[in-house]
Amino acid sequence: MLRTIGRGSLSEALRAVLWIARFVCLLLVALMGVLAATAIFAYATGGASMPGVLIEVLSPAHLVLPGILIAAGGFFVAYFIVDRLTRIFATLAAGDPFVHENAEHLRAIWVAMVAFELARYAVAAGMALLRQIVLETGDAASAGEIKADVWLVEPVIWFAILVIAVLAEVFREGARLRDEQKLTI
Amino acid sequence: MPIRVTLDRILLERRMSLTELCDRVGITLANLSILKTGKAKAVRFTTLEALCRELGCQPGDLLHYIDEEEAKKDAAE
Repeated sequence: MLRTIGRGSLSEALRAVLWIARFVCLLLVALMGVLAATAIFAYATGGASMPGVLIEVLSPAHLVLPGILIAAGGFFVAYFIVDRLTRIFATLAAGDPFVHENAEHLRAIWVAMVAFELARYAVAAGMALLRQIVLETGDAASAGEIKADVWLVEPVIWFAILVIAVLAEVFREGARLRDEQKLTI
Repeated sequence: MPIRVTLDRILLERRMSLTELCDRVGITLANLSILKTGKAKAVRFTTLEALCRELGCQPGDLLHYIDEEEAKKDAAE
């Protein structure tokens, strides 16, 4: 029968997958950072010494740059969550899941998810404002490119946040019971 | 905790070492030390039974209830 925790278990396999996902997230954050820096450089210098293809990809800068920064933020949150999950799965693979650190990791995950959701609403509101400003300048084509319909409340995400918040408390209680068990003679 | 464990006093009265008691009741020295120093959170009936049998005493001889103030003094010491 397939073991779910301990050495050579499913947890250990998932931990390896999470480790790869963490690395990919970190790479994407770095890539977005480089793209943002390039876009700022292109905006500042008018793209004098840059290849035409890159200039095309990064223009118009006032529309592309916020998108890159939002993506960088999203990938950073994803990295943060995956990193915490990797640490949780390390304890699962070691066969000792009920430790206080896991409760803290789960709490950090749901707080990060709440922060990301709220930031997403703020960004969407900002994009709607930007679209209005661009529309007022008479550039309807550019205004049409600005997506401002991403601030719909996602019940699934909020449900997941609540579930993780409850699980964090379950782990805290589990860790407390384990400590008590250790001191039962 | 307002429950004081008087294992050290009884061991002294019986002229028995903690190591000897470990061997007799089959509990590790580390666990008996936790019990003796009052750090234990709970005691199993089976442990209590073994201790009472080997020490020839009653549970009440091993465990004493003290009031909160005295317990705080004990913890500070």
